[in-house]
Amino acid sequence: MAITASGTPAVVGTYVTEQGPLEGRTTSSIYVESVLGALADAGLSPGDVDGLVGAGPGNPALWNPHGVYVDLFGTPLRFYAEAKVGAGSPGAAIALAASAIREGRAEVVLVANAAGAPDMAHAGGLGADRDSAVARMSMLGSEFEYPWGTTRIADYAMYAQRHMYEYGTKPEQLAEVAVAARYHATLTPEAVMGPRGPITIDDVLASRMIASPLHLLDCCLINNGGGAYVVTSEARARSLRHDPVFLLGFGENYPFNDRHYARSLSGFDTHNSAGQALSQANLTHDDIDLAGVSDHFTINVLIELEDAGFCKKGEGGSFVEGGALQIGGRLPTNTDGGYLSHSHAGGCGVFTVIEAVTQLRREAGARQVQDATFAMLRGTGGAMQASYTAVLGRDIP
Amino acid sequence: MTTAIPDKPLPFRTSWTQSFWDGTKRGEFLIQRCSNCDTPRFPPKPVCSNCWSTDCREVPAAGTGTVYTFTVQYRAGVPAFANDVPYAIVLVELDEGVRVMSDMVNCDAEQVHIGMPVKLVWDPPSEDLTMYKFEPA
Repeated sequence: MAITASGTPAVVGTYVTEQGPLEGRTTSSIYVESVLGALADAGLSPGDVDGLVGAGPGNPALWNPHGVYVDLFGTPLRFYAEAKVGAGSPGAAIALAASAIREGRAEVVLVANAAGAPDMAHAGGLGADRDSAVARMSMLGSEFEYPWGTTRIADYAMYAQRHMYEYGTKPEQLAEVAVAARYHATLTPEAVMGPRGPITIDDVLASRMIASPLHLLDCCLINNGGGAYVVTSEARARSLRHDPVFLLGFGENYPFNDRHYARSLSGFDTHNSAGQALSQANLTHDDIDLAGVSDHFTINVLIELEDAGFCKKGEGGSFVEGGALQIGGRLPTNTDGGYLSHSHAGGCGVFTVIEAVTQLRREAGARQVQDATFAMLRGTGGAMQASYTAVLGRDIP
Repeated sequence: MTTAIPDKPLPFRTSWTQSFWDGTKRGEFLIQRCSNCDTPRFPPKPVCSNCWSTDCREVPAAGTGTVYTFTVQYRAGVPAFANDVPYAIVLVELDEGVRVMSDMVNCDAEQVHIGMPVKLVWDPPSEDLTMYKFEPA
């Protein structure tokens, strides 16, 4: 195939709505605000968009999720794709967008996510009714899993138990992840838990047990909100108003689905997606200034940092000790507060990309990581049955 | 005021798994063994993950093993389990080398631990279906 767009595609616009219960706001209103906001940030308009990755609002069972976007904005598309990395999908979407741009199949690709009150009374969807969201996610296992009362939290709790057994990981080390996330949320204006103030390791351990060893404060939020980002070619990116943030490397990983078949329940990266992404980027771990790691539960972050090669397998617990994940620490991680304390609104992987872009533009204000130049993103979906690694940078090494 | 607890969700049963559920009704926990390389597998499926042979035989497992991992649930995900908390979900490694998920019964959930020896017990919710749980061995 002829390559028609040379260079390295970049994120050129981002937007985050308010996050929280957002009573009375529909998914479509949050979606439209996110789309228009990200385009305005880029200095573009819906008329510039010719590619979309990920479904718009409306009935999630639609055969043509692209149709919702096309009709909302009245702008035909020439490219549509969907990533399938669960909540991480809007993060993994960045690589589909970049591929389409490199191949000349699109020039301006939009990725947007919104969760609010359902637009269709019968459609359900990603609203913030926590009990119904938990119940829906409890039924996602196989016929040999859900009949025994498994939940999404139980899935991760079983990984955590195994990690503790194999490597001696301690609940205090899991709690470090939640403490760092909450600290970052206090520095992030729209973060849902920011107004509650910082927490300590003891606070996490004293919160009620949900699924051992995971306490309430080891678990992510369920809330509403939205966000979007815009990807375009390097040439166009350099003509726009913000410093471009380039996609330098990428990899995916699909280790198993049913836990009965899993080779390991304490590590999931079968294809070294981080090594692949770093190699593409001409970087090493030492070059990475910050990380964005799916933190549905605290255990995710330990496992993902190990699988990404920031430490040896099993050493995630000691790696995160002493505030290592906080801004100013060894590897500032989830600097907006993550899913634990910023937002877990539907396809919350969108926020992982947006925060990295904000940091790499050096526009993060009170939570700015000094001289942030390169970021690694590790997004997971489901109960870590799908993941991606993306390396972003404000420079092209 | 009491709230009615809905029935627990039942396995949906597929063309791959029906003969397994027929086995549990007879008191047999059937696992598959590859006819080509003898690798055991569970849950049932039509292809071996070791050699990709589609030939296999079904053999009854002894029903004994050890806890590979577990969690104690203090909050039910679906209302059907609201009266069961706290309950221990276990992923058991059977002596034959396959893993089987279920709940622990006949013990204090908080005493469950990795490596704990367990054995299978039958749990028939109806005449049509026999499910299984684990208890301390």
